[in-house]
Amino acid sequence: MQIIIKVRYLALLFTLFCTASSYAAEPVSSSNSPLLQKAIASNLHLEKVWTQLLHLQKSNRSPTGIESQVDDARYFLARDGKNNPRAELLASIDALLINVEDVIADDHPRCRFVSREAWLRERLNLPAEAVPEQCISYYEWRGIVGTHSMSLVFPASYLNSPSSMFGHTLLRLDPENIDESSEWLSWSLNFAADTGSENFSAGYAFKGIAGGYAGKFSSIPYFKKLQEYGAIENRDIWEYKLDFTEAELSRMLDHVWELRDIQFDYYFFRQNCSYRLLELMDYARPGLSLTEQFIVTTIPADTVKAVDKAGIVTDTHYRPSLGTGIQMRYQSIPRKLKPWVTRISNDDEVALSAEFLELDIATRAKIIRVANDLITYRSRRTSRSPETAKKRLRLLKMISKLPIEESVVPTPVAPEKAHDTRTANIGIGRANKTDYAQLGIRWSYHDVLDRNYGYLKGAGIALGDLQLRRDENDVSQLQSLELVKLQSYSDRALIFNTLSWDLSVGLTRDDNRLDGRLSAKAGGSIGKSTQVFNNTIGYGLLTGSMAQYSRLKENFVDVGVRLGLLRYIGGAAFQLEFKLETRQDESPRVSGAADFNLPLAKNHGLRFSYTHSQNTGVDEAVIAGSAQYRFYF
Amino acid sequence: MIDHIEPRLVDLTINLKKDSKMKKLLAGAVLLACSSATYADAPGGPNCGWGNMLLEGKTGLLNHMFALTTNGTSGNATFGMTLGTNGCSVEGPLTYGGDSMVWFNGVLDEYSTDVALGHGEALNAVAVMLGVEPADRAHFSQIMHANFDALFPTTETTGQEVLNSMVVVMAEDAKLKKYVG
Repeated sequence: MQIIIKVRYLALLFTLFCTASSYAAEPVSSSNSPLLQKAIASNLHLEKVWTQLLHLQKSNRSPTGIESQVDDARYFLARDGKNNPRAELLASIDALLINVEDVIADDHPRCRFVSREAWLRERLNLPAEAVPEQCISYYEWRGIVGTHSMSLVFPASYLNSPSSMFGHTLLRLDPENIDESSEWLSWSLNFAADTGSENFSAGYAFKGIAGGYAGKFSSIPYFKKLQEYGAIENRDIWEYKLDFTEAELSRMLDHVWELRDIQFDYYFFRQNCSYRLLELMDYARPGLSLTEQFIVTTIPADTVKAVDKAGIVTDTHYRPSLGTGIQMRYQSIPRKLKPWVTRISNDDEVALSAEFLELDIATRAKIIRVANDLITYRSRRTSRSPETAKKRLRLLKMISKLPIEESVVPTPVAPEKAHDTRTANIGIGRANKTDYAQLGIRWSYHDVLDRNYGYLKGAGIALGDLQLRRDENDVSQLQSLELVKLQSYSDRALIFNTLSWDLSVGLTRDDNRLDGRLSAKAGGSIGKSTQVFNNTIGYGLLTGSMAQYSRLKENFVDVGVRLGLLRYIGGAAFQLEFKLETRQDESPRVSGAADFNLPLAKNHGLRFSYTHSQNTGVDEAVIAGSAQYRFYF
Repeated sequence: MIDHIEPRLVDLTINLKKDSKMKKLLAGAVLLACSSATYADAPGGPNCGWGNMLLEGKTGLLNHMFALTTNGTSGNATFGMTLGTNGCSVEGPLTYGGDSMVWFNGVLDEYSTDVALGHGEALNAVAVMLGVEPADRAHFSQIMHANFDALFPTTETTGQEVLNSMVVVMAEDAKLKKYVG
């Protein structure tokens, strides 16, 4: 099977190579043809649709000042097609507007560039022609991927991974019978970096940012995406049904077909998964201009907001992950009965014990179901041994004989209703017996105290947080520059047996050290957290940090323990923390901190912080407090 | 087919230890736009029974911390002309067409759970695939649920065998026999 595919690819490559070179050789000599003259005279190559089909953008490195974002010679029929839209137009007219009898194989340009051909015929006032019936693969693919309706799919953050908060987007295309709630039969359309099996190095990260990877479209059955995100990565999925018509979707899929196996440069910040999907939507419906709003970065969560704002969403559907369902059902089991879940998931025979059978049947059903879910969940993430498979079958048999209530996970606040992703803050405070005013900006994204609606509770990711301070002695300085701060204090860490942790890297000052000079500091914590009461996460972490000052020998390593509570009250958050830390250059320090974040509206909030710390053997305590207004934009 | 990401992460940490430039760490942390991993189907047992069939994913703290999987696709069969098999051969008459059978194999894990519970999306999707009319779906679910033991006798039962049992069960039911006639 694979060999056949490869041979076909080779044939395709070969054909395209030949066609490309032969057409490129000659556009000028055949420019006498009336069609070409007409195309030249009406400047077709400057039209928007042509720009969209070729994915053209302005570029400084191109001699013509314009360049296609497609990085694949197979996509161009003219040799200089990547940065010469006019040559590409002429070559396309030559290659595509030929007699249908001349199309002998599936890989002919007329089978590949179906959108281009249709558009050229329309603009040159030629009668429309169906895609040649020789194009078997085209018809096969269009036959299986439905165009009844389309949804934008946003897998939200996943457990224990604040970094996934940026999210991902893909499209779901539905067959006719979608109204019968059978999304499992739909198809996905996904744009992703093709990292292949290349050996990994630190360069990998830079390559992703700088554009060293190729991005490609892929289209696989949607249920596989549901399994990937919902069952394995444990991400809740949001589906936004869009109001595209069948005709628009058909137009879009024709162009997607042209892009099959075609490589784009992949840039993580802007020309990523979400950007390409917006482009497709813009193409599907002339007049939409979703891509124009994203000039520097395309954060997937922001594209969801853009689509929502454009008014093309007709319906929103929330699909809780396996883990979310487990968490909810686990919470509904009375506290003193919870240990049964672990016992049964370890040994299913416990479910047959006299002691367990004393419980009422509905409770037993609930417990066995969660125990089985846990086994399923764990074994989907690693591998399932024959013993586990057998245990699972025995539990399923029990479940099939018990009355199981249908449990519905309540829908949380949707991601598009979440606060915006950049933050500015202004405030006043007192530290080291000095009053100050502070101004700051955070490039991205969310911390555990910010209004949690639309975000995962107990998880945060902050990038590029700059704070400037001016004190009562008129000293102005850079107070801190946090490059990255990740926080993951999950309320499910105990039941799923995962670790809680945080990590931060940046420049900062410590008033107690070297006269408050600026240091480069990296720190992290690791430990456990769990839901202790409703909406309250308790955590215990081991923590360590290293600070490096400007001189080589000025470095300090501190280690300690942190215990804390994080309570959510509606959108507000309250954090109380106790910390014991050994200090390399002084006696151990004990500190307590209280932080309160009060949202005023979606994009406005107030934050209050208070810290009290004291070194053992030192009488005087160090006290700091601040109040700030936060604006999200 | 399995795209190994774990070793790459290990390499990253070594590199970070060697050279703790912050920008590298930042770069690692930032690569998250569009983060998602690829998973490959892996057959569990020698006979590809439903009980062992599953997707293999990656776990591990580092993977979670950096989500460095960059949404990678690993090449083959990404522009699906077929549904892609999970390494299990599908022999015998394909009662409902090749693609449908492969699809069915792919959802067996969820389907078995739904049949045990008596409801669920996988169960509903299978009903739609078999052409069961909306009016008969609740009945279909109920009949499947009542016959869990017949459908899933062992963990080695294959998707084809499950489907064969379903056909037998449906043929014996007054309302459902028209769908397998």
